[in-house]
Amino acid sequence: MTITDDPPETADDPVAGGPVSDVGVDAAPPGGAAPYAEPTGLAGLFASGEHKTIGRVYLACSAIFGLLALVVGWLVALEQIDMATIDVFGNAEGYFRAVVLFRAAIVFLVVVPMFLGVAMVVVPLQLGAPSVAFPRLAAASLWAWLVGSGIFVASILADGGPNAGGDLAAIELTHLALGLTVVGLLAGSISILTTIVAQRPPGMTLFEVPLFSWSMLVAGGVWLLTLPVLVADLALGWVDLRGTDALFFETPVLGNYRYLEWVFEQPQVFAFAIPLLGIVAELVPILFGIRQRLYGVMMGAIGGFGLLTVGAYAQPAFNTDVRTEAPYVVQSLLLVLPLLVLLGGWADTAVRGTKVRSPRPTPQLALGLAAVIMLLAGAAAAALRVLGPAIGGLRELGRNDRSWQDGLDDFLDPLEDLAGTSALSGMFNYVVLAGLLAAVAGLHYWAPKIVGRTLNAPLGYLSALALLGGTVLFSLPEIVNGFLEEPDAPYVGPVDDGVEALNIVVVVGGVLLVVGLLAVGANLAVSARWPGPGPGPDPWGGHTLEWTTASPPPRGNFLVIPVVQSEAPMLDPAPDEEAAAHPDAEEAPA
Amino acid sequence: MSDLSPIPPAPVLPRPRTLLVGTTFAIAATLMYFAALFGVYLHQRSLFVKAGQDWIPAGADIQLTAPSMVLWTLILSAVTMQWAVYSIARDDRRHAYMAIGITMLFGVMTLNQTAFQYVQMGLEADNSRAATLIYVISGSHIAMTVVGILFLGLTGFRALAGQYSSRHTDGISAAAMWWYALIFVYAVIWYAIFVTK
Repeated sequence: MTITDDPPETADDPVAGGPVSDVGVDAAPPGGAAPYAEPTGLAGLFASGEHKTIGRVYLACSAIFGLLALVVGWLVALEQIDMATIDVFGNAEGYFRAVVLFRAAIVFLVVVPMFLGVAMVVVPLQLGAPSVAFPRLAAASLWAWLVGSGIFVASILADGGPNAGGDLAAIELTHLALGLTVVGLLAGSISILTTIVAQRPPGMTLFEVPLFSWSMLVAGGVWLLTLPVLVADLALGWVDLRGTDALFFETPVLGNYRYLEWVFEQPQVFAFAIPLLGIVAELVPILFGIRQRLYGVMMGAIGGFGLLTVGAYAQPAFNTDVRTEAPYVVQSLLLVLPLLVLLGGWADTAVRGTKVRSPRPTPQLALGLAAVIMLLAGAAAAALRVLGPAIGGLRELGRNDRSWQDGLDDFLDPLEDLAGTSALSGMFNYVVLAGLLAAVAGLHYWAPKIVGRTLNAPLGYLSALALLGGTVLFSLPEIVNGFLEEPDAPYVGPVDDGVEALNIVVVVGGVLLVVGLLAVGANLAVSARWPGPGPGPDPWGGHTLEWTTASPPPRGNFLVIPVVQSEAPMLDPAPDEEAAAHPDAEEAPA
Repeated sequence: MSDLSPIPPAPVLPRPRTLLVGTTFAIAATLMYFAALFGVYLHQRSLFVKAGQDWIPAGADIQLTAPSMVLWTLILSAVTMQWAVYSIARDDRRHAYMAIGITMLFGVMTLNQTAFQYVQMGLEADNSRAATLIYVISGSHIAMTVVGILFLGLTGFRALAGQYSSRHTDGISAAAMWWYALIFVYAVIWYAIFVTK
């Protein structure tokens, strides 16, 4: 049987079933049971509950969807150059559908499944687990997501979308398909979260899990508490559409998109970038070969960032004033703080590490640092969008004292006018594309475990450069255009001079993004065609358990799971070294 | 008498309660789904009340008898569910099978009562915001109940196969957690929708 969900006393649970040795826990099945035959061909693909296979399919499919999403985003940008003369999508409804397709696809078909794909491969390895928890659920999540995503794209192409005057059956299909996609991602998240909580190796407390696994715990927790709200919105919209009239969700321009847009705005959109922080947190200490100091603070910063991204309450459809209310404003302003704490922690590691050894730059580090900078830019844009309401609130508090306010008015008015402008698109693009950069960084870093070989470094740097340049050019002009009063898509309206030129820059950014993603695909193809010598278990000098097993890992992942003593087990002294360092230890009374 | 086992046995490591943890996460997500629906329901109803309009459309007749029957049935099922957990924890398999079966029967009865209520209240599905919300919320609870019955059926079959005992009660305990969650959700439905109308 390919998909296994064995009872705890049997093979897949070394903690429960394996004999305990003095150096660790034997992961082999008790009684010397014969290993499972490795399925091949289509059976190996479709019937597999093997976490690495599931993760690889997640990554491959999300990369294909990524290309589709970026091309659609590029076409949207092309039409935005001059809405009056350039007509890519035929009419306003087609343009609206394309905007929805880009935003929903880049989040739910690309960034979140890419992180989930990396986590599906890496998290069990980091925890010394033979498999992911609930392998059947993990497989079901993959296929539910994939089928839902395919139907979602097809429904949009068939004049569906969130009720923008298209075909009613296709609109219903859009609601169902997006719901299925999100439910699939939630099922995968449950599998990952349970693995982290319940399948850690002996000696590893929850506060010693590697930072990528920790970031997935935080991200999965936030997704699990917020995305069901999106499913509820979709369920309401779907039921409402089935009658003769759409009563509840009918609105003149945006249709049901009004009930979905909170997902693509701050603070919720930042929830989709949380694993980014974990990936970079893995990369920086390895660059210098030292431990991350203040590990608990770093975990707290990632957790704090996660808390600040909970945005299911911020639905303008039900509360039109939510964007100017204190919780939303404060949350948006604070988002940048945990990022600064994390940057401080990494700077500390860099300062101490340079005294130990010269850093060894890698493509994944370039990608990861680019991702952090882009996320920081997104957080700054989020703060900029609420500065107007924030300062307006301060004005209200001090309205009796006009002396300090008058001089600020000229400066503040443009900020207050940012609401409803393309600054939202700029912020959204920064955040989700930072997520894409980080996912590619994770792919580079864990490529030995995911595909069994290291990726080509020059092509890696090329993709990093193209994706970084593309992200900046695709996002920053949109924020500047916000000050020039360009309405946020899908609205259209009169704009100030200079918007057209900046939108041409956005189009160039879109081209760079597509080139960057194609470079990642080419890198995988080159590495497959000319694999070179095997990377060995640990080509980077990693600190965590995944680097103790072969590349790619065998079925079951580990022959012997070491007992873990710290958050960086590969830096811990071996038992014999420890005994030599403490010769009196054995004579101590029991 | 000599000691035949000079090496002490290895300590028993705590077994990860994977199924309980996973079920807890699934319940958390489900409760958030219902919390969102209740939030929309109460918000929309408050708008109608403030405007002085009738929330339940004319012609619909929402009586409390059927929902109360459902709630009492579910409360009884909580007792039988706990009976199953109690029995398996004491290796009393026969009582565990019986308790699981009765709980499933109670679940089927609530579905029947809900179907009766749908016919009785005569609320057209597509002519008001109240109808949309009531059918989405109660329909989602039906789905949750069906999942609960299937979960119980699965654990029942696994119990018959000897997979659960006093050493390993996780499956039945996890199904019980899900069952208690669906009772809690129905209690909120009963009060927020049918009592306060």
